[in-house]
Amino acid sequence: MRILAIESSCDETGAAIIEDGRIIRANVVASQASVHARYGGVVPEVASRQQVSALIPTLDMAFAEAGIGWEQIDAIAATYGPGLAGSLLVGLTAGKTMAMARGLPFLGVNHLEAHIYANWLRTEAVSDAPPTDVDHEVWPGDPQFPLLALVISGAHTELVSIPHHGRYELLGQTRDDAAGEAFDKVSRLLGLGYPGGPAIERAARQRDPAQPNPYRLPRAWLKDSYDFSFSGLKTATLEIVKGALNAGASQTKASAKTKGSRYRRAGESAEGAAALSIPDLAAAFQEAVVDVLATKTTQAARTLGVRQVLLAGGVAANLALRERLTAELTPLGIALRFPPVALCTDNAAMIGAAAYFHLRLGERNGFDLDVRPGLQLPFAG
Amino acid sequence: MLLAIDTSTSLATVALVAYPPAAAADAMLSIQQRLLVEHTWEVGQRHSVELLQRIEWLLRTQNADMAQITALAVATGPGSFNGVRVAVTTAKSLGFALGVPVSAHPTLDIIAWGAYATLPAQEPVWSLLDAGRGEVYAARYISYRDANILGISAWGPTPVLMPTAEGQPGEGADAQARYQVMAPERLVEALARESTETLLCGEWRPDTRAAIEAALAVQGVQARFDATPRRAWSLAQLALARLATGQGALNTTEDLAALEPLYLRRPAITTSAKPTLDQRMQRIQQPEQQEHEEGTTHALRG
Ligand SMILES: Nc1ncnc2c1ncn2[C@@H]1O[C@H](COP(=O)(O)OP(=O)(O)OP(=O)(O)O)[C@@H](O)[C@H]1O
Ligand SMILES: [Mg+2]
Repeated sequence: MRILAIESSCDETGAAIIEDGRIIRANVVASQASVHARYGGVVPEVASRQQVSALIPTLDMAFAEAGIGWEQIDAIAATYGPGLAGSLLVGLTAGKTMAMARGLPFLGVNHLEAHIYANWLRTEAVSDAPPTDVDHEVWPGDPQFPLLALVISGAHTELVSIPHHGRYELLGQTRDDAAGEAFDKVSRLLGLGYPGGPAIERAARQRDPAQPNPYRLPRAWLKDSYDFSFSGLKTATLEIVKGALNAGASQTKASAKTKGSRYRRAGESAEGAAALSIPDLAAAFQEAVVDVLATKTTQAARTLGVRQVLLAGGVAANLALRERLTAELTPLGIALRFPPVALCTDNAAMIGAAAYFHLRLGERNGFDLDVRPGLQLPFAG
Repeated sequence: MLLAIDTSTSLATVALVAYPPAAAADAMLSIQQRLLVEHTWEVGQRHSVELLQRIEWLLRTQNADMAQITALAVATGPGSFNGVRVAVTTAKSLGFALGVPVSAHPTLDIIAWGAYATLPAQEPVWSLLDAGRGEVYAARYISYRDANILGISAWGPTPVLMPTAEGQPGEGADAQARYQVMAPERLVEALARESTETLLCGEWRPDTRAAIEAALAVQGVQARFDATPRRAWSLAQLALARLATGQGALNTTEDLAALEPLYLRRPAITTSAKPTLDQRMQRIQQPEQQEHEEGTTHALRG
């Protein structure tokens, strides 16, 4: 089954052509990151307008990349939530309209489920991976149920047990900021720009890991819960920055004073802003996030007795997290799986992957499907 | 068949018209006879939810399917941001999936053309739509002797619509400047420069009309109001006329890619952009900056 998939939930416009839910025939993503970088975040109305502008070029490139025509498309899928209403509206309207025009089945896709299904994608040809168990849809190389998934994106942080296709059991989630959101906010605070995740990761890599980090940031362990909290971490980072700024300011105002700043804080080796080490602080922040995510995920994997753990969402691109989790899970005989970096952040290939497993069961949506900006994973129970 | 789509406001309108006409009937049919079916309804903000099923219904009335659509006409705004996006996205998608030409027309043109269709107007016609914040989207149209294509048995000339904010348009008048966002007082100041009574047509809320009437009274200006709902049929006529000229329709993927809604307002952007640490460390003295661009009350949801 060949699916034309569309993603438009936020500031990326994606079109992909996916075969049997796994094989990428085309995957085109037009990113607006540079547009929104100016504002330090996504501006909804700007994003919606960019979606309209990028739609046709993205679709056109996908068909060109796959080298196929409309006759070879069997179904159309588009994200219907969660995301920004105005952005979702564009991709969903396009998907429904083209399905109607071509007389093809249409399916609306849950963007979060799609992030998880990015783990099913591969680039090799069909012949390399013949289906072995079509009934339960397991191909060689597919993730093996039961699974534990850590969904970490710009707006979500969820630890989810997945016993089989389509069943999701929520173990824990963030009580305040999402992991990606925390990266973005702290990046902005440190003047590292948008999107924050890659920027912080890059900055953190600049420090010499052999040297002790002068910064130590708190972790919210939330005992006996798989829930997360990142707002305290964000505030602690802010306090360090403020402290450094104030120290810098008072130093300048009264440089004659020999005592240094009265705003100096414990854990801060620097005297003033000039001494604030961005790489050290970025690394300390990243480490705190990774520490909590890895510890809780490992604990859950152990308790559930799963053999494989999936990472999903933009933050899954983070190398420090991948390394740390691999190091913790491998000795337990648990495999960590994650999509290639390009498939962690928003893309349409993952929409096509998730759509396949629903379409295969005969699921379809009508042309009256509406956007669902607040859509959740369909949790059982 | 030509499918005309307009979801610019909380009022949506769609129509199917015969296109291209059968060769033999070409000379016989007046443009009026080409309307097959038209449907106008109160859509609220459910543009994307309701549009496609209404189009399916239109097709059913003609025992037709999507494959028989040979051209599209679309209203590009101004209006509700999301509403306009739905129509434009639908037209782009249909154009891309069916490979048929798209004729795009500003919503204010469609309103003006509708007014010309019902009155043999020699007076200036101003198209208005609520723009939120007590303002209106506005464009001015002056009557042309040959502009009335109704009743012309062949395809007729391209309607020459020359909207300007004030005075006579110059030859190369900037297309964007012809469509404006105006406060009622400014609108009436412009109307005061007309030599005859003006016809104001379009859609407005009662409070918007009251504000315009108040300004008319204060400035002693005459104008008539015509709130006849706009019709996809008017849009279809403009498209038929344009398609007949063989020019101005969007035929290629590049054309479709370049099709943009006519928003008229800039996106609402409110950033209390605190200077980043980086900037402060470089001692760039930036005042707390409030960037507040135009938005619209029409953009709902989310
Ligand atoms: N290398 C990285 N390290 C950490 N975070 C990263 C990295 N790369 C991207 N991110 C973060 O991932 C987020 C974007 O992920 P994604 O595109 O999945 O989120 P979203 O689509 O905005 O939100 P959602 O999927 O929850 O609706 C951003 O917050 C970004 O900072
Ligand atoms: Mg995402």
